[in-house]
Amino acid sequence: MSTIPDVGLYRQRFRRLGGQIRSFMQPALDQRWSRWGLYVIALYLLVGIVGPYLPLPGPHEAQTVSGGAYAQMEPPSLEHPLGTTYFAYSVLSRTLLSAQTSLLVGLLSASMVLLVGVNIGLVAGYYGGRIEAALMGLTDVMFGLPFYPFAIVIVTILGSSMINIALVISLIFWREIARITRSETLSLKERTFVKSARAAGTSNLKIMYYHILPNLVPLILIYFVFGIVWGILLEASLSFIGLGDPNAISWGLMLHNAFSAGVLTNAWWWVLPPALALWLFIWSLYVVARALEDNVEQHIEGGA
Amino acid sequence: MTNSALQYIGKRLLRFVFLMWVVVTITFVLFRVMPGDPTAMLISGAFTEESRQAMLENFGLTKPLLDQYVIYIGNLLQGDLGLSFFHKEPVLNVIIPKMQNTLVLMVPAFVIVFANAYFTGTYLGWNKGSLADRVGTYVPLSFRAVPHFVLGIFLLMIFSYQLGWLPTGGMGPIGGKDLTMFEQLTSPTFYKYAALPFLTALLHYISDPLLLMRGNVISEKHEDYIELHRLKGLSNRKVREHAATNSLLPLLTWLTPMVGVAFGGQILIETVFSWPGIGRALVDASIRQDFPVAQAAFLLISAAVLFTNLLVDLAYGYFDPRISYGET
Repeated sequence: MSTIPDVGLYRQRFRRLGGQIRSFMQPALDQRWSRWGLYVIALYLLVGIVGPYLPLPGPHEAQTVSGGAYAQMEPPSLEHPLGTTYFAYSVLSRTLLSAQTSLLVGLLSASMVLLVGVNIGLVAGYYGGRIEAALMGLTDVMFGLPFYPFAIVIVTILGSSMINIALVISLIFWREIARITRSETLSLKERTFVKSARAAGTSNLKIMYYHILPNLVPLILIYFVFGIVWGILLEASLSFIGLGDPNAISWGLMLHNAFSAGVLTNAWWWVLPPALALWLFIWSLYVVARALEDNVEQHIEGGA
Repeated sequence: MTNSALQYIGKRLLRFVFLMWVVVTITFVLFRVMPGDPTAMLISGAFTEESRQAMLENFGLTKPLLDQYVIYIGNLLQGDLGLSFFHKEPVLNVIIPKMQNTLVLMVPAFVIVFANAYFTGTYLGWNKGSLADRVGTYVPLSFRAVPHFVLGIFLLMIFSYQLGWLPTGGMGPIGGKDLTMFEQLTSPTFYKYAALPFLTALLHYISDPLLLMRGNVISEKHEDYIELHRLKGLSNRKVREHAATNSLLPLLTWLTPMVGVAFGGQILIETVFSWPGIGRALVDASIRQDFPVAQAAFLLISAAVLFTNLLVDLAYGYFDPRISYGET
């Protein structure tokens, strides 16, 4: 069965999708806190992109004081804006460069979680029957696995890298998004537009990915934000306990170094920048996700 | 107890056993795919291929995988989890006391978090939009956004290093003798050491169930039966109690994934405060490549999570009149 692809229709649909996303982001812009959250996220994106090109000392470049000695544990000064670490590295450049690691891990994890979760939920909800029972049984098993311990075991066995961290997250956290995608798909497939598409002989794949999926975009966006948070948190936590990617500079690693150097008593300039950077980023993502969530709930209450 | 209730409990127990088996199998597979074998960790320096083979045989690692799997399950059923490479002691002797140390922090924290969610959450949801509601939702949310270990480090810096009020870590003074659980719980020193890790857990977990309960109460508030209770002339407080009772079930469901998450968070808290719990045991074992301990810690944590889920399921069946035992 072949139909002539109607380019105009596709374009229209994409434009509609764009409009949908924009109108969906609107509540995040309307509320004061989440608007600040969006600004902060934009700032982090900027730092993540231009960070490596800033005129800053390299993260592994030992700083010196004017006499020529290494600038170990220098408190903040004009020369070293955020002070230096035990190994005389610049805290400022390490803090800024860590943004990139966090962003990469977050985006990678979020994409992988969605890729797994949305597909499983969509297939389970659309086909129903045994496929559904099997896939949902699998989600039940995943809900029984404790996340951090599992992550630690995986990282111990496979070694620590950004990819493995994203892998662990996608292995575990697809359960939430799969459950929700499934229940949404269940109700969507009873709607008229899906039924008429099926009556017109549209293939199952096309119905799932072309007719049903675009309606899930608001939900998917929320989980994309949560996926970023999970990724960032797991990376920071693993780095903090000493099981992070050894080749990446990150806030978790900075805190690990400060903590294991035993300098929490006085070296506040080494601890506060990564800690606050992490907190502010996660806080912003949470606030934005919450604003988006409110919006979806209103949709449901409004009976859409 | 009716027949169908027994059936319900039986089904849940069966499910628990099945999930336990899945976790055990996953663990077996994971720890067999790791690169290298235990001999690489056990003996440093040179040793001949012959002695290596002898060692592998000794460990039973030359047998086919299926045989190894059967032996492994058999040993597990007898409570034999092997010897720790590092401590040279049976793994269970190493791990059980650590689990106790973790639970002594976690259980009280969770009881308080749950009670707070029930009472405060109801109050906030009932008075949605009030000043108390706005403060009561954003403040806990702000703590929630601080990763455990960052919160822990902050508290440590303030209360231990700056103010000097509380010890910086551990479960008791260095060199102090090992106390029994009862002696610990009755000594004031123990509470000094436990205060910060406990506070960290409390602040971190307090927001999620609170917001969940608040949301439930907000949606219950507009249900017909609430209107009916009002028309009957019940006081505002009584009506609120009805809404709260009906919002309790989603809170129970929340516990299911949460217990797993909490054990994870405990790992970080224990690392910051050098608390000798199960989480730190897992991390230390991972760093030392002490696989028997890592494996056992993972299994024990999973078992605790699954067991709590079983209890939640049973409680759910008990509390929810809509669940008819026979049909679940």
